[in-house]
Amino acid sequence: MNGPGGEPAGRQVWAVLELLDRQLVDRDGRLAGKIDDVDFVVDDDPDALPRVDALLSGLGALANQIGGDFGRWLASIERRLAARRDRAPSRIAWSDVKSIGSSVELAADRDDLDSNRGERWVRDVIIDKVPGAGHEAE
Amino acid sequence: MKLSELLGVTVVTTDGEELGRVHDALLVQDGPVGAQGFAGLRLHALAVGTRSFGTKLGYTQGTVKGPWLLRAMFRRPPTLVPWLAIVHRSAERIVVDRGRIDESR
Repeated sequence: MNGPGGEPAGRQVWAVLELLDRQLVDRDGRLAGKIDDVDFVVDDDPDALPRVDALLSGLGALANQIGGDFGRWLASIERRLAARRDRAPSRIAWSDVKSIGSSVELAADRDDLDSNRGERWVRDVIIDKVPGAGHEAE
Repeated sequence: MKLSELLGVTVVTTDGEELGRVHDALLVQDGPVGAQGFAGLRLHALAVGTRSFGTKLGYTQGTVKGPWLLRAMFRRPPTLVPWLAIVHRSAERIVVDRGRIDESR
């Protein structure tokens, strides 16, 4: 699939420059985490190109990006925590992506996303326990 | 396969020439259309080079244009290695077919 000049047709996106560290925004405009890695599907067909399957967000994905001893240490911590809590890595299916710009807009509600679980945990375990939580400020 | 598994990996040709490391991946929105009416992204090529600073700033990809002095310093284009030129891939090394890189230029 080539355009004039032999370039591939369709919009071009540089993965590191235009996706990594971009803010995720949910369908109501609320912040929903940042992109730390990209997951591809690779078909068995040697002539097929890998397709973006999901955007990854959270400590585990960030650890892979950092690499080295520190990255491996972070990844091992995340794996242990995830195993203890029986949770899958934070991933946002590509089918939930609405647009890519200075931020990445999602069609999903952030409360339904794994990428928001850290904030949800803080809200449920800490903020909601503070006296007066749940009431609007006067 | 994750993007992080590709970044920083050394790329060599089948005749032994080292091209550098993977600094970025070129995705093109030409895949199947999803539920949101948004075409999927497919990985067409890897940006490979010996220097990464210009890539991190966006000069080598051409997405950042100025100031001209920085552009002149850092806009040394990376080698674009088509995905289909890859003949072997491991965690440490990606081996590519030189002929297929030349064909794509």
